[in-house]
Amino acid sequence: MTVAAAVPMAMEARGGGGTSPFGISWQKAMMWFFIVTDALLFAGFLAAYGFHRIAAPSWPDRRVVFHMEFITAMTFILISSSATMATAVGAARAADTRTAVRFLGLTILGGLVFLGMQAYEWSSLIGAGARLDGNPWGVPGFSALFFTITGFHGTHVAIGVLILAIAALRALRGRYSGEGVELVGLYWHFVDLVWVFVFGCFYLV
Amino acid sequence: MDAAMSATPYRTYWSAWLVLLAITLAMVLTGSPPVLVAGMMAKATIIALWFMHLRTERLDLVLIVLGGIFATSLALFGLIAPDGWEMSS
Repeated sequence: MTVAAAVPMAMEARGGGGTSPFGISWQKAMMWFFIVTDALLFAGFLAAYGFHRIAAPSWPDRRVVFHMEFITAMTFILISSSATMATAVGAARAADTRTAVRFLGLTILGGLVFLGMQAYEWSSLIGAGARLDGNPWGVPGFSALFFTITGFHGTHVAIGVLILAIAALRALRGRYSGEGVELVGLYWHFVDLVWVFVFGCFYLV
Repeated sequence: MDAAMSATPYRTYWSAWLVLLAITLAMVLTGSPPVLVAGMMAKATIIALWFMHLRTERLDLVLIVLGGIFATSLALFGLIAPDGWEMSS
């Protein structure tokens, strides 16, 4: 057997390889790999946060700095947008375009409301004197980490809203596939998953 | 995977949503570290398994995704956090 013939056979025998690695499409496999690498970016951020938190002799009281009811509402909205996204994916898979578009629209709305609330929260903190290099609570690393981590997450949400809008427009024109919506859904759920840890580590600990 | 996913009824997603909200509320109201850690892990698991449909994917993909994320995250925290304790003491 030639090497050229043996390689595809070996791929099929192990990961599925060929046109369907791990029994899924290449597009979906690449989305999963992207999610793994992006998760490591946020893991690095949260590890840096953990280091600062442990090393700092004191840390600002979260109940003084943040409006916890407001942040909890933001979290509820992002979780709800994940549920609407999952419903949109299910509808797209079932070729129910109307339901898919409606729930994609609701997911976009959830993302926009979340971003608006985050902008309000940022402006409140900036108004209170928080900057990347200092803040009134006496722990400079606090605001630097806060703006960096929530800023990166917010950027992910904004990109997600843009991709969702493109997916909704394509669906409206009938130019979409169930898997296309599913890939967008994977990204959106990942953004929600990251917020689980940002919310838990930054706002609740 | 596709057939299993298509067969997932919408109410499964909305049940998962209710559980996620309940866990979030419990985390906010108690604020105790064990509840927070358990809550974060439970929420991440629900999102990954039900919303992202990881439970219907092949085991090798699941192991690559979860193993990759958890092993590297543990290494990151394990290598960085002890330095924080050293600095604080």
